Amino acid sequence: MSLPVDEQRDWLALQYVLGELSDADREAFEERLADDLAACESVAAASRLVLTVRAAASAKGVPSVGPASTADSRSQTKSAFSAWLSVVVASAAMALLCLFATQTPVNPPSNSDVASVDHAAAELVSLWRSGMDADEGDVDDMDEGLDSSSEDAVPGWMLAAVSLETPGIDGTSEKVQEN
Amino acid sequence: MTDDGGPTKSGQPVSTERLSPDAVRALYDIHGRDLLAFLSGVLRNSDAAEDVCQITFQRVLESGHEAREETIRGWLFKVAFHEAMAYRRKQVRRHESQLESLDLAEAENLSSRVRVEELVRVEELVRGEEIEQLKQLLAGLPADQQFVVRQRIQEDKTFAAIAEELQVPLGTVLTRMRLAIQKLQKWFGRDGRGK
Repeated sequence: MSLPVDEQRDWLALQYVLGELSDADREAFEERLADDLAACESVAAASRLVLTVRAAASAKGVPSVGPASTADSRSQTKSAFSAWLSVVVASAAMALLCLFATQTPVNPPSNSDVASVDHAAAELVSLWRSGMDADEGDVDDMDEGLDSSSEDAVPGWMLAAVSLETPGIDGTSEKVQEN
Repeated sequence: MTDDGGPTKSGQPVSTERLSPDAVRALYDIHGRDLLAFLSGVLRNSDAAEDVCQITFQRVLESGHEAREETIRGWLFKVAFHEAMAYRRKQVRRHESQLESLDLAEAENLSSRVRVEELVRVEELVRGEEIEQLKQLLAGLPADQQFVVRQRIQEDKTFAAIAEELQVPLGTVLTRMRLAIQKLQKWFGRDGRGK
């Protein structure tokens, strides 16, 4: 199959620029370059194309293909698996968090429970105070600690379990009376 | 079509006065980039191409007025080619005299250093936006064509070496390269040759 004249010339020019012509073919082509403007322009276009392809192929973003790409495809598979694994772990963590959140009651106590909660809270505080008296013997300090707005004397778990500041029946908050 | 740049084949009078520096500058703006690309292809060395391009436009200053305006482009390429051949002969003589005074290892080192210089100052001939466009065109080529293009142009392997590596006939590699270049050259187009 013979190529059109201009395609033949362009192909010859590219081979000339790449140094692929034999010595005889190169000399013949250079004789042509001496007075053939079209051949000169083919060489100019081939030269610019080669330089641009080199620059483009060297730049990032052009994926390599063919036999040299086997290692690349393996590394791509590895990174895809890692990404999938990350997603699975993150989803599992989110699911655990949601499960934990649902264990904690978020609904405010009903009105009928307020009084019993108050009584229970008072008992707990009383028990705590008596316990502290037995262990440490300085009730006044503990009283100060209990009376103060600071929560340092009362352990956090107690505060979390029994709210010392419960919402009133009419929606206003009221403090639990300590015994 | 040939052009010898000589005076008056059609009887048209030729200027007897030299071209002004501004006129030469204007010619450089129009034809300089193509001339530089042509000389890079002939000499395969960007430094040499720039030197010869400078010599060419020096000749334009000296005798460019003798060429007809409609054939000045052909005249420029002709002068550039002759200057490139003279430059190459001079370099060959200089290189041979250098090699005579070096041992084998130093001679090979000198040759490899000359090859690396071909890639210097690409930005004078290649523009950033052209690189981006060609990147996309390269990525759109069939895998086998893209591989040959990369191996030949980027890795600088010969067609024979690529054929041996792929265990295919040399003609197959040449065909893949030719088809790939046809597609890429459509982007360059004949309109983009400075006409």
